[in-house]
Amino acid sequence: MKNIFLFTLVLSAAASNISYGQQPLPDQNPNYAVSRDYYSQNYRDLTATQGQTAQQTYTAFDWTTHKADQKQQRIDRRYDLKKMRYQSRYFCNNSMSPFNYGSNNYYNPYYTPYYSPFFYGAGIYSFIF
Amino acid sequence: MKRSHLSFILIAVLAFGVQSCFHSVARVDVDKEMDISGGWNDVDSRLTSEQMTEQALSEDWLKNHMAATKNQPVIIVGMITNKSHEHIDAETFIKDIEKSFITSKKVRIVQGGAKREELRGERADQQINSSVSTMKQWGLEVGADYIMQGSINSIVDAYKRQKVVYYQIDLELTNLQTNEIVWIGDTKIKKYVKN
Repeated sequence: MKNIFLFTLVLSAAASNISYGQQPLPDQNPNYAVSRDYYSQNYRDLTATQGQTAQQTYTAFDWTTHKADQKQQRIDRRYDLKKMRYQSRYFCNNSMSPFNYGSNNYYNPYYTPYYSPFFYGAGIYSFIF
Repeated sequence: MKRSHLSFILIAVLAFGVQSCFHSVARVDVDKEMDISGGWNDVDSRLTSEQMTEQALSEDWLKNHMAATKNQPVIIVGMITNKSHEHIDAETFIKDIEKSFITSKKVRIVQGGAKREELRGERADQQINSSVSTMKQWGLEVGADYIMQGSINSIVDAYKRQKVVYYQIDLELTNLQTNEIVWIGDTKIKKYVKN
């Protein structure tokens, strides 16, 4: 049984050497076949990126970009607030009509849910909103 | 009424003329140094390729290889890793380096990666469609002696409107048989940007 096992081992090693056309060299690691078999299975994936640039970039702090981002955030925040105010005005009275003036829908001259009288009075509404 | 029409047309023509002044395109010499944003540009790429080629062809690894094998070294280009803060494609300077190697006739280059796969696909196609006298055989490719790998790194030092950007590009040649690094070339670029 032991002889058969050894014979199979020698035969497979010889066949493997013949198939790869490589004879063991002096000072060559006797376990080289382990590595060879491993990399022979994966060589396509390992060489697929040859000649390419792998992008592993990071974000560096830039003052001008930071300032522009902050400005954009302020604009977005203002827009979101306006949207929320408009939506809360529109839906709080269970009415689909845009001409409602509060909870009882009677005309109330002091009820200005969206347009501030200060801005209206100053005449700068169009510059701000 | 007529006058208002005329003035409207005049204003439209003027507006079109003024607008067309804002956009212009001009061909410039490719060697001309033009820095606009302070980021990586064609000048840096050209500087890198020139310095790397000069270093690679003048250093001892080439003489050692020629002395040992009596043949020109064969190189395959591996992966370049961009670890900087900008999107940089190394192909612009790698192609310049490859071209310089080939024209110098001191170093040979073999194809790798996706282009090599395409070559093998074409060879497989020839086995079916080409005449016997012209079809290319399998197993006769030139094996590379060295692989060229590299990295791009950057350091950014910024405060308010001032910025110093430092790029370091490293390329190295490794012996494919022994894993020994036989050559390391580098290019260092430092820029001061004031906005």
